[in-house]
Amino acid sequence: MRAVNNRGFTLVELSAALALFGVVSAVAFRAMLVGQQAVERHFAMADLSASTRTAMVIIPDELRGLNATDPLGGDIGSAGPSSITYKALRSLYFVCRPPAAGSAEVVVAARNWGGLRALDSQVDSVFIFADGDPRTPEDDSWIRASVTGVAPGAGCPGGNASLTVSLSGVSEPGVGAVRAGAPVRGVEVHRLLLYRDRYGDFWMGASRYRKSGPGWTRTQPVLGPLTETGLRFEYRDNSGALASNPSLVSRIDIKVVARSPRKLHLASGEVGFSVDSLSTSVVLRNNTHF
Amino acid sequence: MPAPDRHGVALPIAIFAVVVLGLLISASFLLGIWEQRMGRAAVRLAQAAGAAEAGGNTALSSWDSRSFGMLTVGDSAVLSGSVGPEVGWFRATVVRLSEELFFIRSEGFSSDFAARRAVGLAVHTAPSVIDLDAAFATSGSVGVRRSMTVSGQDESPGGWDFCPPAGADVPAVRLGDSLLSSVEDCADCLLGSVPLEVDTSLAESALSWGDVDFYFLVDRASTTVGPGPHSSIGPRIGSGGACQTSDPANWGDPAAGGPCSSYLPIIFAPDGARIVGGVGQGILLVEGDLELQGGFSFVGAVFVTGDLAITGSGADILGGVAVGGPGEESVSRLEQGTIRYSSCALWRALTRASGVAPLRERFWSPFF
Repeated sequence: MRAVNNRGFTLVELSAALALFGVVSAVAFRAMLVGQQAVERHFAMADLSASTRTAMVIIPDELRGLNATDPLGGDIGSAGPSSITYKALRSLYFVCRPPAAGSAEVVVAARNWGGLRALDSQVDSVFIFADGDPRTPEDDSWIRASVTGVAPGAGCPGGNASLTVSLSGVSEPGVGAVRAGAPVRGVEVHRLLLYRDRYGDFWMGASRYRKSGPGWTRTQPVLGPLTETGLRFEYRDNSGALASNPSLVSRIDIKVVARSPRKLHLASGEVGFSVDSLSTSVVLRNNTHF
Repeated sequence: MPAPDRHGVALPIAIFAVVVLGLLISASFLLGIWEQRMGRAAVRLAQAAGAAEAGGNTALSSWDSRSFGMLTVGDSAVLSGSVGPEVGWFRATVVRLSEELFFIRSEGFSSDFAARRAVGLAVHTAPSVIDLDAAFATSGSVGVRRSMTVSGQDESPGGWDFCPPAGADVPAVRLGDSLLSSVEDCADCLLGSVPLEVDTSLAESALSWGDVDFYFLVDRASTTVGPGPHSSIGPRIGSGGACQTSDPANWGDPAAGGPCSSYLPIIFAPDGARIVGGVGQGILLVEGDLELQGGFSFVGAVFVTGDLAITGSGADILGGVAVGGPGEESVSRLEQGTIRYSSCALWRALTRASGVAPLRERFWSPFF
């Protein structure tokens, strides 16, 4: 019969083993924690990067088509450091039948080339190209008018689908100077701004102006969260200097600074918000160019 | 001696550490892929936007008046190309909106076609530098018989409701040398601001207008015809009701509303031409001599380097006529019919050969 192995652990052995286990566990846990924080930080940075890149698609797309220098009134209403109000292109149609002089409506082909949305009489105004004498560009201008109604029909030549756009406040030279084929640009007054929500977070928001009723719609968050100075516009004229008024703007410099939704363990070891920024410049394509 | 008990915690800890490290590495890997994809998406979007802009600019800068200028209102033509194999591709659709307006819708694609952007450009025909400033201009001699009327009173063709208001009257005849005219005694042969105006700038050629000349227009000709005689000129309508622009005898239809009413070809006759009857519109370019008779009716511009004879039962031209290329001793015999000045007919015909320019403002549109 073999002797039973009665040998056990001494207290010292047990203590040493426990201490060793504790140290190894602590190191492993710490490594896991650091790793997890790093992953969390990197995911947050990727999110921020996506946010800023999205901003750099949305904002330039909105602003590039503005004409700030139109002598009859530019598209930029107010130009602040963290907000801008402008006439945003929302639809594009073409007149299919020359309107009668003194008329308060135009008939356009039903196809919307702009594609963002159809004309909306609640919010939209129009610019209509007026070309009194097509042999010269000297008398070209854009008539402004408010849209009061849009009625579908078949009023284009050949009985093709049309929209009859009723207008008010038609500017000179009046729709009598509008020729068949003239572009009709449907615009709404739109605002992009940095705003703070009730939880104290900053966002880039957007709202549009309703011509009747309560005016500005409730600001909707478009992008964020941003830092306290996370949306900056700088308006520059042809020479690159800061423009003294909106009618001189030919370029808009945009900076977006996004931050993580919650505090993270930063690489420096501190706890705080992760921040990422992106800047771009937009040249206004539709400014008067000769 | 019994085997020592080797049970311990090292193995579980090692396995745990390997699992944790594996997870961290996987997460980092996924993050890298994610970032890379976002970056690629941004690059693709930029490529597509650049290609769309390039498409619009290409259509504008290398305006093809033979294909775009000949479009009838409502029709379109497509121009496609590459910005470079690593950048992207574009497909620009040029639509004729009216006599004077076009719209270019340019779609751009990234090099792998994964991203697409589109922009639109509204463009206007460029003002013509060709200004006859008379119903009939010649560098050579002209003889006008009593049965012919040459009128510088501006008028628009019937039914052309897109014409701007008529302008001021112009001279009936402008010529380089007053000694080279012979007009029979009649009250209504030459009408306009003045019957005859001498312009010594015409002495060399009546077919040169600054940087533009007869051969500039010849380069843009859409139809070439032989010397004839041509006796069946007129609009050609296909079985589907469409204008058959491929038929060289189809010179459009000046009557408003027909299928060929917005087809205004640039017709080139390199060996002279004899036309007997028929109807057409556009620009008629004749290198050599032109003989018109049989009541031929044409709306637009007629430019002849050699001699012009309107004889027999004559011809009616509404627009303007210029005769006499450089170095040519041209002779014009205007015996029967009418030449009436129309700034609108000239403008409309000449837009078929002109380039385009963006509208002065608000010409550009982004598409989504």
